[in-house]
Amino acid sequence: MTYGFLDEEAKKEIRRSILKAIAIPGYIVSFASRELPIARGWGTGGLQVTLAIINESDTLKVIDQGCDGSVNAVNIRNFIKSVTKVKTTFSTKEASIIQTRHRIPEQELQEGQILVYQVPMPDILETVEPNTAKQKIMHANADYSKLWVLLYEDTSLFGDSRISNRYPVLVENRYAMDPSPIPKYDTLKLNNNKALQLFGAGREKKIYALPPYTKVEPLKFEDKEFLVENFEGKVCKRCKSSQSFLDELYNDDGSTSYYCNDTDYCDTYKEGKL
Amino acid sequence: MILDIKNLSKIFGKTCDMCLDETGAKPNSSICPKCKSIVGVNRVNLSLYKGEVLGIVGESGSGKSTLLQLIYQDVKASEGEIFIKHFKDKEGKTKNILDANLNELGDLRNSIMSMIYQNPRLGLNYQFSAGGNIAEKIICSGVKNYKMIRERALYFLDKTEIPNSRIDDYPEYFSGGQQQRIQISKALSSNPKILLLDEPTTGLDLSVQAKILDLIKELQHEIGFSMVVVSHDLGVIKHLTDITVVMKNGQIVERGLTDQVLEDPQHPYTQLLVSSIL
Amino acid sequence: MAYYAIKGGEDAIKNSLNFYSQKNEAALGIDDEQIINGLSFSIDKVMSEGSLYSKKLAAKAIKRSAGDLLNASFFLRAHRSTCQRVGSAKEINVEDMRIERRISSAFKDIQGGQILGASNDYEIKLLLKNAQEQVDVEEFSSGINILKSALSPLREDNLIKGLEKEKEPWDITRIFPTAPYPRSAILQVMSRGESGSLLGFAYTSMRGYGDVHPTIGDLRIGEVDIDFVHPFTKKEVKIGVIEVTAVECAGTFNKDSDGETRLTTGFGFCFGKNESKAISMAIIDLSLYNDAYTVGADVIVAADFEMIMHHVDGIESFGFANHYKLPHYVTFQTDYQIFQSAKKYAKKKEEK
Repeated sequence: MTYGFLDEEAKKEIRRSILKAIAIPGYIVSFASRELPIARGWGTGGLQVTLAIINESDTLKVIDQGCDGSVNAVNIRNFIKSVTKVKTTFSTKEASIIQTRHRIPEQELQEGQILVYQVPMPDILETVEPNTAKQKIMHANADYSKLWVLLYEDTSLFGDSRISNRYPVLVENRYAMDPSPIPKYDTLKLNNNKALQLFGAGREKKIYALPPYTKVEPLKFEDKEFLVENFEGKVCKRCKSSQSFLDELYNDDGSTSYYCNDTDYCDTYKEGKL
Repeated sequence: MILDIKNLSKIFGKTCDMCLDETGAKPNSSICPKCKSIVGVNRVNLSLYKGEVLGIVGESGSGKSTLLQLIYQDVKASEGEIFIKHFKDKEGKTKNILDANLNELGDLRNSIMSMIYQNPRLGLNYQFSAGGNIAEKIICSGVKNYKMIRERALYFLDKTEIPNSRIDDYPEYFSGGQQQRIQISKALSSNPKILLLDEPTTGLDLSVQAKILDLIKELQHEIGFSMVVVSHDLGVIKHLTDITVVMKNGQIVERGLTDQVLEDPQHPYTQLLVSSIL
Repeated sequence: MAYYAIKGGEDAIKNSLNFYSQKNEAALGIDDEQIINGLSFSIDKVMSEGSLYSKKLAAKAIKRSAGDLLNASFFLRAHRSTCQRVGSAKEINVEDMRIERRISSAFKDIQGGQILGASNDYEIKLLLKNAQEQVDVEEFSSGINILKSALSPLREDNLIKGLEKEKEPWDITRIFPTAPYPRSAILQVMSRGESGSLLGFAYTSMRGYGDVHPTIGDLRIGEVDIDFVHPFTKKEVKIGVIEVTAVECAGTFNKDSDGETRLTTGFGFCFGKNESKAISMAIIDLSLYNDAYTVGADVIVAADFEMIMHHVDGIESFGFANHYKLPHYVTFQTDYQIFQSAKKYAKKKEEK
């Protein structure tokens, strides 16, 4: 088996697509997505991006919904290890490549780190226009009126957007981008991030990117506040932090407890190393 | 001059070198004898000044609706140029709007011009609420402030006598006349410089027609946009317009002040039209 | 050009069938038990689409069809028509299932826990594996798990949109309904529907032509008892045990009939183990009965009753698709003649 499972031609093509994506922040680039031993919809896009860029000097971290121990994260991490023999870690600080599903790590990323997102649907316009040909014309035209009208209708009926995760963002005032199903809590972290952010959608065969220090703003009305998930009054049962995104767990006796969603953050906070 | 149309033509079909010469009012035909193409608009020249209301009259098939569609660029012209005062290139010179790229086209259709269609189904999106439709136009003209958008939508609905409480209702729950009024609100909400109206009251019953015509006239006086009204109903033209042109087989056969054209028509075709008013 | 009509001789058909069974000999030689134990997903698919729960018959049908599972389902449906209807079993409550596998994507942990069971979800699909990994596993628990749906806390708090309950469930095998279709009829059509067709329609919903990204509230596989009131003794008896898959998914929120805003849900259910099918069915049920959160698609296929009601039955679509192989030379002759006269007419018009 070749290093990184994919053959060299495949990796070259993915790298070219990644470079094009970085050159045009937020713009969606098509690529020849390969089928992998992991099912479509389970992270093949993120996986192909990681496999195309990883090398012997990297340190890999894989999280799913914030957790290194989650079944899918374990699976993907083991697979990548088996085809690259690369060093792996649970520590956000130590990782050079972090592959993630649905969350951005709590701890701030640094220059030189790469965050690889697993993306189910790469085009944010799909929520208002499922026809891919029409989507392309709308992007070319910077015509995001349908997204704005949806926001208007929601605001009139419910006071705020109905979008819970995968909140549309505007990149460098030009392209509307799908940040992948991260909670609104994380959306603000995309902006001006020191790390390189790469987005891979395997099933839909698309790659897009945000180079470091890119301007990324949530698509919202100027006179409305961007409301994020609220954990007021709640504290992580394990590390006592009140500064992170919390998971709500139902205990067997019917009561609820809260724990940090980002397990590495929880560990680091508990050890007092933050 | 706010709108300047030069040698505008539209041919549907194969087209050949004879199409424009062999069709028109004199040959009394829009079909090219050589290649059978249909000449919808035949080398039309037209100008409009600020605050003017221009009427285009003619029977079905004369090319008047097509002319409007060419201006708004719902349909692509075969040849010709159109200049609009507010549409300039990077150096500040007025540019042929038919050469506009996709981004500029959006600007033309969202900020500078607005079109009101005969059938509200063409002008409204039935998946958006009444307010949503108007919001779309306002947002496309550059406003991203919710309060402003909402207030502007309420303002225009008020102007067109649609009850404010119905702003969140969907178009299909309104009558035909109300849908037309929502369309008018939408078209005006972006403060266009030029308003294009294609048979705005055809199909509505007479009392509603009268109300809408009065409304349009009042808004035009109040806001001061220039207007191009297409209608085969001479009563509408008389009520709304200052200048009228008469079209036949894609060509303009007569032009002048509305009162003059309607009271003292010179061209035999115009005379025929005017005399057929019941 | 002359056309020679072919007479399908009885002999040709007989020979063709003989040829087929000769090619199929190897399949017929397989032991029924081998298929039941070894190809359990094939058995489950055939029972579900054949609408008849019998592993033995399903095995026979698979052998007769040399592995063509839709054809095997067809055998089962045909056999079903020969069975006399004795009566209706007692209604099954999926919360009475003896759980073999139960997961909920909506919550990290739930009462009763996330029971992965035997699943190939996380199997890395490497066809040619280099080395077998040695893994230390715990012994599989043999305890009986009877668990409420993971969505029941929400249901108990009256947060889930309810649908009108029918007095009597419809039976599509006796009378096929006309629109408006009762929900029981649509669910029946889907439960015995072709897995791929359901997957296709559900996929359109996931990709934007509809609600987009529902969440699985509760997916469960397990055994459940079939209870029946004995026609003579009038006593309730257990007549069998079947394995089933049930899925409850949650969508967006809608206004309920009493004006309250509630969470919408969908339900999927089928014989045997078939998670893709149950998930697809739940998503389609969700789409059909609730307003989607979208201003995009003009056409939402998965929310169209006519689309679903008439286009997911595998035996019907399979039969009709293949019927095109029957002789159609008479109809084609008529088509051809119309084509010829139209062409002549168009030419005449051109010349004029």
